[in-house]
Amino acid sequence: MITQGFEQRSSFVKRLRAIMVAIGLFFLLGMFGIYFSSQGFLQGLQDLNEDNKLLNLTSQILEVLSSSDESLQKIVESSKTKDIRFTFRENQKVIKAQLNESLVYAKRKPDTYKSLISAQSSLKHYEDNVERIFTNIIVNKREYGEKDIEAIKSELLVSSQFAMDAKESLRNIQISLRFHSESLFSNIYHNRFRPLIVTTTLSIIFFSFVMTVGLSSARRLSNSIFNLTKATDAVAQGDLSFRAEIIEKDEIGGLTYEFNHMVDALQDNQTQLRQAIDRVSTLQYITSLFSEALSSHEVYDVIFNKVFKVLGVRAGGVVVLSDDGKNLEVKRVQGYEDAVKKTLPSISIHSGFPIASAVANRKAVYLENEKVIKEQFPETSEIYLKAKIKSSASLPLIISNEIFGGIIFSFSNERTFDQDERDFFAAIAQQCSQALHRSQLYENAQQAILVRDEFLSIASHELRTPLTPLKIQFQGLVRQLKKGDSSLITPERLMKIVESSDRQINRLTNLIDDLLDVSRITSGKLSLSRETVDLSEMVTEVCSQYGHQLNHVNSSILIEKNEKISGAFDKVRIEQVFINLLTNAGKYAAGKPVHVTLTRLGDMAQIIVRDEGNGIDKENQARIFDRFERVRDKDNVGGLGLGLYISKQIVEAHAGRIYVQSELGKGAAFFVELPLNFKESQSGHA
Amino acid sequence: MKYLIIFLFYFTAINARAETGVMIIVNEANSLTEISEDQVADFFLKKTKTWPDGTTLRFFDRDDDSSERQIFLRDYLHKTAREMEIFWIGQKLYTGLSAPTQIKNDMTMAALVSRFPGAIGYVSADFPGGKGVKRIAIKGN
Repeated sequence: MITQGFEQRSSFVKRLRAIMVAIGLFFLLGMFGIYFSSQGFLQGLQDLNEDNKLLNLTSQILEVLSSSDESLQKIVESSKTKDIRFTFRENQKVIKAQLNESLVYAKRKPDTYKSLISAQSSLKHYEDNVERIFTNIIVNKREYGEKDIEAIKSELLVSSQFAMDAKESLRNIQISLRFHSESLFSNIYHNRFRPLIVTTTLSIIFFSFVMTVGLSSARRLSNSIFNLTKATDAVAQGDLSFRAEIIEKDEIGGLTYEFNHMVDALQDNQTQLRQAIDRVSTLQYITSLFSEALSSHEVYDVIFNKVFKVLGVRAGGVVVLSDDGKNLEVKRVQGYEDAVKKTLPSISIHSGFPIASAVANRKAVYLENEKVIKEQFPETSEIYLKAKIKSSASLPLIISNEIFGGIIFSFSNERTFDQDERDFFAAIAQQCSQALHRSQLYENAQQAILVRDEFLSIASHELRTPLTPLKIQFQGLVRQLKKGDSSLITPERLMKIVESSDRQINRLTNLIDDLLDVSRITSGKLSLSRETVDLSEMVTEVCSQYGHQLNHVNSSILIEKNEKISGAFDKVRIEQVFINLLTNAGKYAAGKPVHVTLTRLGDMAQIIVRDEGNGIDKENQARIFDRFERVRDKDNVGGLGLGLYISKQIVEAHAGRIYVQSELGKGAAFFVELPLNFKESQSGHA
Repeated sequence: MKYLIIFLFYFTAINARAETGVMIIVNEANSLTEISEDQVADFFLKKTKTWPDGTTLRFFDRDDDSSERQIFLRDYLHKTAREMEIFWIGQKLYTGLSAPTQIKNDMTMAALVSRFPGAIGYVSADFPGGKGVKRIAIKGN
């Protein structure tokens, strides 16, 4: 379809048609010119022809008249009057016929016609006169005397006058005819070149017309095409800013218009392509920057210093979703008002901030301009206004399909956020997510390594501790045995050494068991062998057993239990948990009584071990159930820090719960809740 | 001697007659009474072909060898016979006009002039006249 505003029919065809029409017209003009210029010619020739005929006729008439005259002279001498008369009459007929014919030819020559008429009249008189003479002679029929002859001659003279008149008229006609013919011929001769001149002139005019109009028309056409060629060449060389000039609104103009249109599209494409390349380069750059950032601090530095700079971000921030999924902790912000930073360490996920919305809905929020910001997030618009922000993109940070936070990019100019740009930001957000996640993993790994190293150092220390006195004792014994001094090797002493060794070995065994448990738990090999256990019995047993040990640290156990509570549990493991709690109480709350409570809560059994020690602060309360974690305090209380971890695994394997309630300075209470109704589906493995 | 005197007398008479000049005659129907010499010449040379009243003018001439002609040519046209001949040849070629009809004698001249209303001719001065013709006076004579 040809563009609006351009001729629908080909201008080539129109031009050609115009030229053909011009040719046709000129041809016709030429024909007419030749025809009309020849008209005079032909007319002249026709006149010449007529003149010629008239001349011939008049000559003939004159000739016949002369011959008549001659024969008439013989009337007097001859006796053959009748013959003469016959000849005369014949001649007269001829003359009359020729005169009539002449009159026809002389129709368009008034003077000649008049002369012919006058000649005709004279000839009539002549004829009449001569006829009278004949009649007289023939009628009278006698010999003539001289007087009669004289009279006849006289009459002949009279007749001859009329003949002379006629002859004069005819001759006059002839002279004028000749003159006319001469002038005609001269005219024809002088104008012999007229048709040629006419055709030549017309041809010159025509060719000039064709040259000027045709050439100029062709030039316009070729200019249009030339322009287009130039433009095409320029575009082919890479100059997409070039547009061809539209000279005429014909099909070439239409083509030029469409060409310009196409170049517009090409330019747009090129711009978009460049933009896309830029974005890819940016992404690659960001990726390379992130690849070198290990810790989360380094990642944030990259985000806030490099990524923001590259994107032209005026202000931005990173928020992390809290574990309960209700709040967004503001990890870092930049570019906003200080007031903002201070008042918002964390924001609710339901607050009226774009990032909250983005995280809550797991969908990016793009705000193109101030108007949109004001409409959708009126609370934020003031902050943005103060920070001179006119547009922003808030994206959720997602890793392994789980949302863990959000990132905000705010700009000082309005933006359109077309699909390509959105994809770009989404890609950047993903990069940030991955980087943050990796840094988290890294930090976790670092932490784990630290913990492991610490554990190894503690473990080696702890494992060595019981071995050292053991070794000393045995070394002493070996020395004494080697010396052969058996006096010192008394049974009492031996018993002491053995008992001590036994204790140390027990201690070691326990430690090693713990380690094995942890290893089993880690590798998923903790299995429970359930049996019906009377918890109150177990508590009593363990307490009595451990009573000794706690006495060492001047702690006493106070039991409180109400009823018999039985359930299907792994007896050994539950005991282990209980023992661990008691041991901890002894460790951390030495010298103070330990309260043990056993109650039933619905279909749960609850064991509470409460001490009156220093208590555990909130920070540590969550940590202590982790592997290798111990309360960090001044006193080095020994142990690997595995007890609570193992206990937790065991309790949770029973589908139960273990937790602590404590306040600094007010001791700690450990709660173990175990379900009494065991069903296969409820059991879990650590 | 006598015959010589008679011959001389006759000769003189003839010559006297020759020397008497010519007379211009016209048809008696002609209304004019006098014309000028120049007019005569014009009429003769066919420069004027009609009378004032429109009648066709018809001049009659005499034979070449007549004395009247010689006198007429001399007195009215002031030309020789040869000159006249050449003139009429030219006229015939260029205008088609013929020379005036030549008449043998006065009698015939008079007869012809009387036959045409517009006729005009000349006779010897002592011509007695005839039926149907009249003498026309020449102005200035």
